[in-house]
Amino acid sequence: MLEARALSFTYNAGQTDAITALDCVSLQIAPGELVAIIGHNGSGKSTLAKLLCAVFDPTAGQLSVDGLAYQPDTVWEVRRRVGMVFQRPDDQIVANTVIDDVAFGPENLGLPRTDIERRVADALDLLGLTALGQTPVSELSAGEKQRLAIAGVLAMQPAYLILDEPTTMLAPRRARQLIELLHDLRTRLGTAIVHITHFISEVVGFDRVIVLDSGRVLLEGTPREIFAHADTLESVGLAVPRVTALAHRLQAHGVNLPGVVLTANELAAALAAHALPPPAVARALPPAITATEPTAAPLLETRNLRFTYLDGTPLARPALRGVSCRLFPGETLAVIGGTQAGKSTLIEFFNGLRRAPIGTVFFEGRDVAAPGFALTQLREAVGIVFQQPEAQLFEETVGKDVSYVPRRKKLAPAVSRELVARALSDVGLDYETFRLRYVYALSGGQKRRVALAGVLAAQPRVLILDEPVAGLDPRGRGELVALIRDLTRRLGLTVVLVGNALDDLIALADRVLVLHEGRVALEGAPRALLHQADQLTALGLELGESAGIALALRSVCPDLPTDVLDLDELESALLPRLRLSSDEREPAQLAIAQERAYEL
Amino acid sequence: MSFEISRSVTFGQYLNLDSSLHRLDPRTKLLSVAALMTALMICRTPGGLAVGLLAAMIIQVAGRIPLGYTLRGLRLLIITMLFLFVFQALFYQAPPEETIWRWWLLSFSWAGVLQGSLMVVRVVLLYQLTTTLMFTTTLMDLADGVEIMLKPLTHVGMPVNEIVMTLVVALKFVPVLISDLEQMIKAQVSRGAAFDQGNLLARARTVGATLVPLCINALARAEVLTAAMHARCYRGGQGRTKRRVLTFLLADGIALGVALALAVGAIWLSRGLNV
Repeated sequence: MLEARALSFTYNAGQTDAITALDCVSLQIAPGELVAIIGHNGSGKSTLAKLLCAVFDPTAGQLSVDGLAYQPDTVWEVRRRVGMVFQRPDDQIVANTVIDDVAFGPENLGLPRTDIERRVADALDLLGLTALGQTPVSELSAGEKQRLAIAGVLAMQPAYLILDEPTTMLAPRRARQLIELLHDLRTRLGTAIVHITHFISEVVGFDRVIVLDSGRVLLEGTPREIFAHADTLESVGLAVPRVTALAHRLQAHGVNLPGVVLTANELAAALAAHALPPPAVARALPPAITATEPTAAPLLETRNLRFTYLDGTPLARPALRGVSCRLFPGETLAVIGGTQAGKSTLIEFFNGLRRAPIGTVFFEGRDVAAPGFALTQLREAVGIVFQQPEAQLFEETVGKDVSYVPRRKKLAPAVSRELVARALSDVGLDYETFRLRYVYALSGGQKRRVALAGVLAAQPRVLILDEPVAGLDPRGRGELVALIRDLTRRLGLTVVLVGNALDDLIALADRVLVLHEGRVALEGAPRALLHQADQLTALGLELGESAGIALALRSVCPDLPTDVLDLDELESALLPRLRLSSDEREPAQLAIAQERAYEL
Repeated sequence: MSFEISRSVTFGQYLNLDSSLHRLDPRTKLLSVAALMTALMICRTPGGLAVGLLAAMIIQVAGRIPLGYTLRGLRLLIITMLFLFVFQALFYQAPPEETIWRWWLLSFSWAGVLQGSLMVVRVVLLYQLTTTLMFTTTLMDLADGVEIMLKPLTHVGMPVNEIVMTLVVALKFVPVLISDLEQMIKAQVSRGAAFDQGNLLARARTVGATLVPLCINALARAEVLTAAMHARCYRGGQGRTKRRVLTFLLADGIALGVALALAVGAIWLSRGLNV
């Protein structure tokens, strides 16, 4: 039993800037249990993780693992029994080859050589890394690094494994694979797993969920018990999974469903009794909406663009294998793809950051590689907000960072001031309040807004956002999606959104370009692509949550469209296909009602 | 124009190839490199350096590293080498009858130019030696080799494992920090900063501006790494065992023998020359 009693932790205890992160938290984790700890940023969950694995000492309260109390003289034994995986793999990998890193822990335990070899081999095998044993860490993909970080801890054979927000930086598909892996590890090794996250949909299959808020335990129970408190969850910035919310809505319409629905398959099974048969005349799915390319001349165009990283070295890695695409003035284009799809590389060409050895980039019809073309002109017209832009703010204060471009252009102070004030207010920050704030003292979400303002202050015609919501908690994501929606509408910019799934943000786009292994695999309006849901999943892309549920519900409603962008659309597509318990309509009337629903 | 700094900064990179150099015991490689470096430092004659060049060729072939990749990292040293060349050539004091031009401390002579060229060759050879060592040896192999060879020093109270581990961690961060730097420069350039255009001063300013955020990132990463190492029970060399055992094979004997012979040969060819 991993046990915490009345645990408190205060940063800078005793000083004026003391912050209480945990306030009298008690919890127990049984051997072999699969527990999720969930809460938004600042709820104290990472602090709790560091206390559980004895990296921090509590300000007050006791901890024990299988009867062994946490004391200065037991700390190494505690750390052996309780393993910890940190958020970013790059920060915790010690060696520079896979096998050496996995061996690091067992070596520290002073085990005999044969034991170390066996444990390393087992851990590599368990995480599917055996073939990569001698590979340098710098050549691994993000997913492989994450598995390496877990293998390194598992090789120490801990009884309890704690993972601190391992999915925050991962694409949805990778995150799902990781959660499956955690379930698998528990089954195969009997290791208790404590998964810390801020994504509620991940906790569905767990034995128990602990909800933290402001350093206290807010709720505790099975996922089903927790999700019954939808209002409480909402009040702390967490929403129940979309399928659970959908079931709630259907219940309100009189569909007889069990109390709390956890998965789409569960909902499908429960709906089987309520689904109306599809209309007698088999109705083909409405034809896919063909993407209508605007007729205007493209603002940016690439033709047969090819690019290889570290070309001509033993580390060469092709990124683009012939990409032709166009960006039209005023449109919002989404570029989506999995890891290594080439999307981040492609947008660097849009802004003239890279020059193509093969292929051409045109800006307003002019070849940007042609002699006499001023690259500065392209860079001024196209602004990029990179991934995790908060790490790239380089000035001391907010005002200085946002005014970087106006100052560089040597604009008059009044003009510059006006631009900065407008850019800040566009991203929802008050100029006077934030102008002199230190960049390093801002929260993650605020830094992201400052980075966005810094690009807007340059008055670009095209705004490129590379995975703008990655790494934020659900509350931060919601706010930023709303901000971007508002910005694109209000400023009339041409926008490029880059993402890894057809999610809420991408649904804002007029057109979507799906990249796969450096090529354009699909192209069309978001709805048109959602129509081809199976093709998207075949490319390894995750659908938006609503479309994913619709796809799963096709097992009971075979004609349910998958081109639903949000919960409301899904609900209204589903309702006419269900027999409501209050329904006393005659079959003939129902058929008419159905016909009408299809007309819509 | 390129923001792929990793293209040029090849230092500290390990290349996962299979070659006879990769398979050697790290101690063999460390000792050989030490012997050849000493020889290169000592020898001052074209003959000696020719032997060094021969050693470099053997290493290049045995390591199966593309020559272009090895030389790539030298680009960053070009200015240093030019400076060294000019310095050597102009300050070399040739006998008066060979001096073509003289002013104050500076002079020009063909002997000076020769000395300057030898200096550049020496720097290139030293660079090739150390960088090939890195390309062909994993960090942990290197660390184990150094640790075993320095082991006697633990008896006089030197924390050998801790020192070696510090070096390992520092080198581990090289590629990580380079990619951080690339990201930051890209962010600046996309906002119009000079890096691939403009004068040298403006470019230097672009790079300079990244230093503060880069250091802050590095410190944050180091803090997490320390916590992660503690969580994985690292407490210095005490009580620590090793997965790998280093084995000195026949191939190691041959390699070391060849390296020592070449080093001695290079020094022998430089004997008697007082510079």
